[in-house]
Amino acid sequence: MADIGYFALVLALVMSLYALVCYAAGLKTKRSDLLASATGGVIGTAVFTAVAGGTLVYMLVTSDFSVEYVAMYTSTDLPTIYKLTALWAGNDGSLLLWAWVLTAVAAAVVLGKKNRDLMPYVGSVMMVVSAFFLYLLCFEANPFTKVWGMVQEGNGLNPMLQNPGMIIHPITLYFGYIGFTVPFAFAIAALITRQTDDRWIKITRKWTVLSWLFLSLGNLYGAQWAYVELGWGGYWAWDPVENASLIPWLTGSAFLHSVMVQERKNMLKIWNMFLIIITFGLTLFGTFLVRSGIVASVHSFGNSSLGAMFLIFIILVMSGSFYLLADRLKLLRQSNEFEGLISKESSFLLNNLLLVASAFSILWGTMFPVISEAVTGSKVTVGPPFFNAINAPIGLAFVLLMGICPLIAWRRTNLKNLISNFLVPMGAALAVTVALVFLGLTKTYALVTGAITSFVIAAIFQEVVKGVGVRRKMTGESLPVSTVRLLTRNRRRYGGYIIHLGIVMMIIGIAGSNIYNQEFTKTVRPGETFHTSGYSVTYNGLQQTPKANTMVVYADVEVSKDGGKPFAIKPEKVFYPTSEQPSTEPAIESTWLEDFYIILAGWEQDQSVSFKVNINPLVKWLWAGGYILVFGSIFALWPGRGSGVGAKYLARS
Amino acid sequence: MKKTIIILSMVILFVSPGQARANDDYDELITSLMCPACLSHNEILANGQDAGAEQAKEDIKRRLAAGQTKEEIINAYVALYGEQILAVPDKSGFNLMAWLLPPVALAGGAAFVYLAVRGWVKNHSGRRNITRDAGPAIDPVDEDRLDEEMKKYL
Repeated sequence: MADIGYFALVLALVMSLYALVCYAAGLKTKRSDLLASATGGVIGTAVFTAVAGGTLVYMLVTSDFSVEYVAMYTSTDLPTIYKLTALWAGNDGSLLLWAWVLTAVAAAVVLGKKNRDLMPYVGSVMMVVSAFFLYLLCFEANPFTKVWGMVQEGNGLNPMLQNPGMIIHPITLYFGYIGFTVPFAFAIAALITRQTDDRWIKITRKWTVLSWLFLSLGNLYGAQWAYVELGWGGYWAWDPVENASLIPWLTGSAFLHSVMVQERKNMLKIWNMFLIIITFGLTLFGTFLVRSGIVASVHSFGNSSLGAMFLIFIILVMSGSFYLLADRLKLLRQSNEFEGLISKESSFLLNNLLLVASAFSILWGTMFPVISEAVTGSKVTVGPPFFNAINAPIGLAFVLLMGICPLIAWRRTNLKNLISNFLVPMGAALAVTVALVFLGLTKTYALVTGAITSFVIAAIFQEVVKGVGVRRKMTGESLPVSTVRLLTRNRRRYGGYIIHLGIVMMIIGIAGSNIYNQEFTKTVRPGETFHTSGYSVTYNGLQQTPKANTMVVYADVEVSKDGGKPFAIKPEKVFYPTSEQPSTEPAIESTWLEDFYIILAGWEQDQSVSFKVNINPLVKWLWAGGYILVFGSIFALWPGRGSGVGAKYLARS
Repeated sequence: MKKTIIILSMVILFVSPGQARANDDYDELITSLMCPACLSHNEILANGQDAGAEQAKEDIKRRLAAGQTKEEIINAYVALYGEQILAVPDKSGFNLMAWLLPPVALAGGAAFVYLAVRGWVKNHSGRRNITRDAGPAIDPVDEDRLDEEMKKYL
């Protein structure tokens, strides 16, 4: 079996190189049969990579321990779903998954009927990236390496990875990372063919939004996994690897916004090229961080030779792309005009500034330990307080901008319009701030966040209400009909607003859980009750029960808030057959106001136990905001009338 | 625009990291020190779950109870484990760069954006002076016609 897999990998590599040669020869000699053959090569690459991927999946599911990877990450008693997810539990397997998806995407793209003139270049770029991954799989990280001798039982999967979050988090993240290859490839194709219009942006818009959505999901599910699995009561620790997936998300978000300025006003061409190149580079860089182990992290796969390969590839791809961009700079320059200082386009620029500054600060903080060690020789740590201190104000300014942007028009705004548009949101912000003060909130950050988020929500709803009003006046439709039609005929714009609402909800959750979180530890005997933050917690004793391949020890706990209806929860320690350390599973009771998060920290002979309790306000808003974001993205992507771009405001001469 | 930029840079430059949390000494210590047993994992002490983290937390509690100040405890930990034990680099020497560069970059970027936009606005007004031909306002009949036309697209 292993031989089939490895052979397929080698064939896939050969196919990808064949496709590259055919593309180059076909473009040089302008022979369409060569180009068609190259397309065949791309498809062949995808097919053989899929065969390799399928082989590894089959071996994982059937526990074929003749292969090192299967023996290393699975065991016979592992539930089938986790045997499957072991595909991305280790270095080699996750690289194979990457190549699998990438080559499939490449095949889907080159088979497209439209834009045939760009395809040879797009296909070449995608094949270069694919060939790199396939090379790694064949020679550096072969997932089909055989075991010497007989292996009866595998090591099993790391217990921390045996969680539903781990099924979705890596795969969505990879889809996001890989997806950005498509707009990158089209951008490079546009540069090579000297097409300076916004065609490449229009073609790849759906890919871009979809990749961005997957990257958002990847980050969110990662946060959720950390929250329910790591047991420290939080969801984001500014770990280098978390940062590595947040940074391209930020530059990708900047790209999504700045392309609108190019579509509407034919400006920012160089900047958009720069952003997509950087975003693609950062997706590779994120992978480099995980694989190389150069920065301390909980996630490291740690393999230094692989890290070096990635670094070389990143440097080559980035210098090649930037050389191309520099060479075409003259073509992309255009006479720029803004009608006024304050306009929607200015707010887009500010949005880009904040997103890129935030991305830069996170990259800088993540890499600073390495830089500092190289310069001064002493190791330092850049931890969460650094990232919070810098990104909290940038984040809030960014959210405020999200509220301001819809209120100002394209091209220019006069003061009268501005005041009339700002009145309602300002009023909402003021009202909410006063209400929060009355509720007893005094911390500056809480009040500022309250004011800003209510401003944005009011601004978005005002925008919809006004739009519906105008539409009704023009068409005479009824309220529900005109609301639905307004939203669905401008999918892109209102999808964007829905996403903004989701982000605002997430910010509310992040602010609440960071500013007003509380933590207690308590040791109690069976039957004892303790009181904390309005909760009364009764511990009824320790129980033990087998579950699937594990043994679960849980505390029987009854909790009631402010004398309300009591609920039972069970914080657990789970003992896995393949791991000495039990893993801690928190029990969480979640409401819109706050999460009651309890961990069974340890126990004594006499059944007395120690609990760690976190009260995390508003966390549910974070997850709910994530789902709104997904809905908004799908709303915007839904094909049909209204998913295109709005009016163009080109300079008239 | 100008005002927004100024306000933004002020927010970035003057909001100190301390404001985000105001807890007592113990809470501050466990969030400003890394977990000594798992430095390679890059976890702050407050988040550490294993025995090593618990030991360090107990040690800090003991030291506080014995009357040591926050600074004394931090210094003792730095002496023991090196600067790496601090959750953030201190604001002196080369490490100051960690703190300075992001706000400086943001301010620089803001200045760049402002100058660019101002230049673009000048471009526009310069051109408009040459070709000034504001068309006549739409008369009411045309406006009705326009309304009718637009309905077809709604």
